[in-house]
Amino acid sequence: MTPTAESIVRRFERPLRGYLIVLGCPVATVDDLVQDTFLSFLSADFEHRSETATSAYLRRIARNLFLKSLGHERRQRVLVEIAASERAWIAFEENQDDGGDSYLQALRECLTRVKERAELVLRLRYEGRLSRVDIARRLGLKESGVKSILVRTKKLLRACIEERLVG
Amino acid sequence: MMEEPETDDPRERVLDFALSEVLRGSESRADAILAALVRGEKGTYVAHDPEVVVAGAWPAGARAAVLDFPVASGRAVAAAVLLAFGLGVSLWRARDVFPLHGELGAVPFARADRALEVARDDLIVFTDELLPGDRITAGRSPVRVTRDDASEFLLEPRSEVVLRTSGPELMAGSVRVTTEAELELEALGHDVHVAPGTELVLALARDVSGERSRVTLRVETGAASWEGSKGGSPLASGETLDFAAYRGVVGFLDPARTRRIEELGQMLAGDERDFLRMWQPDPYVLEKARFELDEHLANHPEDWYVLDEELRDSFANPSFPRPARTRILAFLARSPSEFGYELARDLWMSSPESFGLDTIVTLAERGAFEFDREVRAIKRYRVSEDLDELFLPLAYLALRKDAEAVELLDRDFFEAQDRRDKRNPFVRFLVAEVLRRVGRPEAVMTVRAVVSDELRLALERDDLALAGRLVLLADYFGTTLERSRPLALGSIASSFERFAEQSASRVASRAQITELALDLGL
Repeated sequence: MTPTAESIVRRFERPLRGYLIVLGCPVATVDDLVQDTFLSFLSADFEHRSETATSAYLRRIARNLFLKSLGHERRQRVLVEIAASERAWIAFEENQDDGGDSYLQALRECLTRVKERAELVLRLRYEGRLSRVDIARRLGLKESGVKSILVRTKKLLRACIEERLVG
Repeated sequence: MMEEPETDDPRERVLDFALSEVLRGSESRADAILAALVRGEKGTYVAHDPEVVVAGAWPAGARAAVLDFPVASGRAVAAAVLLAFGLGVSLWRARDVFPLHGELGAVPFARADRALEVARDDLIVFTDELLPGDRITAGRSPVRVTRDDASEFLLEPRSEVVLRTSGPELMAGSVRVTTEAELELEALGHDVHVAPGTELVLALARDVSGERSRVTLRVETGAASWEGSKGGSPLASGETLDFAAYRGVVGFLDPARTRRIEELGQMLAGDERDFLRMWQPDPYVLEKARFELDEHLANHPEDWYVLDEELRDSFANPSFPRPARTRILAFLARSPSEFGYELARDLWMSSPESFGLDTIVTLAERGAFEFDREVRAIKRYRVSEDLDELFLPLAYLALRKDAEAVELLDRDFFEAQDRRDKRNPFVRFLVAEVLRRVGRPEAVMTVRAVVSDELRLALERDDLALAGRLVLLADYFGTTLERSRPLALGSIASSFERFAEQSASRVASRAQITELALDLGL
């Protein structure tokens, strides 16, 4: 049965967000690109044959839109690493046969261990979708300070998640 | 500008995705996308948060009472609307799951012939039930509205009215009114009193510069009278009246005079046409081609018909490059011809993503209401971005007495000194000029003081290019720009670049720069 447009949006919007972020799309702009991807997809005369084919087609649109949104220099750098990025995302999807739910659950648990200040930075970054510059201004820090908090905290979170998933 | 991610390792960016999902929640985003696809499409920032839109359709106190209502779920709304649009369910069914007001004591006093977008306060709602104060817009199809008093009006395509209890206020386009009751219409401060049993057409048009407008009233049957600041008069059946002086538009031609398309296509096959095709042309070549095309069309306005056909075909082709689209739209928006202006508005319906901010502002300044709305939505939804990107929309709104835009510019200008000082000098001068025009003249003094320091440093470094540009900016904004005339924000950057090119010989040496700076009091 051919899925409805709505069911396609609901099924693929989360993986598309993940794919774009792994390609290097900033969190702040990923929703717009996902929306544009579906707009292009729904305007195109695409025939749904299988979930894999539709997923690949959506990824191709999203990748092209992302590349189009970049300046020349950045585009060149993304293109150099695009194959590795795509492999990383596909590997993640294959390893997470529950659609990534266990990974997200592990992250939720690990977040309870994060210090208050680091959590605030994470929230401003990912919930508030603020740029590092805006976070720095709000907290009275330098941008480099915000960046190092993010890098440090994410390193701890990655270790914690791996520990939980393996354990 | 797009921010770089913290890490170059794509495997580590999986965590970015997971953090975004966990901390922000992902439940409402599919609904947001679905609603945006249906209602706003891209380029319409009002569509990003349907939950806000739906929630705002009820007064806060009444919302709890309708939680069990079928539309309480954004998902249900989005699904119904999407189905109605995309999957063949007729629109009247969408109305059944989206009756926004019946239960709340705000009684609809009019009904549209179909569910449509309605601007209600600061929100966009999707409904056919209309309240006083609603602003409704007809896109490509007309909208028929029937009031409780049995009067009826037909809003012509690309027209807009605000509904009043006494009658509609026309904001753009034209409206045909048939009434069995007494009714009052309004357009540009002119009141029209309509007698029962009258049918009339009220139209509003702007001239090319957007500075003056006219209102035309034609009574087809019955009688009406109008009243404005300069008087009034009755109007009988068959009479037509123009309210305001009208300077004729440039560029429209009697279609009967249009030459055969094939011949005109050949005429445009030269350099002028290349302007539309170049990928990343040299700025000088581009400006020359733009000027020549402009001149050609001014002399041969009938060729707009050829261009119209060309451009519609090109924009329908997905491989047509975006830079060319953006450049063409900027050209159309700035064209003195009404034809270019209307064509740009048409292309907005199909290619909103190709419009640059300067083009959006230009069209808003020329009176295109959909772009005015877009500018307001941009302020509302993108204001967290760097002001270097958004200074044009904010300046546009500030000049139209938007207090929030004035404050944002002012705050950025005076409080964030470190950012202000790094800002592009052109933006600083422009923001200062806007603030001066809204009653904050100290901004000009500030920018001149900062530029004076920068000029001294540039001369010390022997950076004559920067020093010359700073002096020309001071000259342009201080003496060349006519302060009594409205600021044309959409074209001011290119206007300055032309000025700078023509004035290059005035700042060719250190001595000339220093002398001009002294003359300007820098």
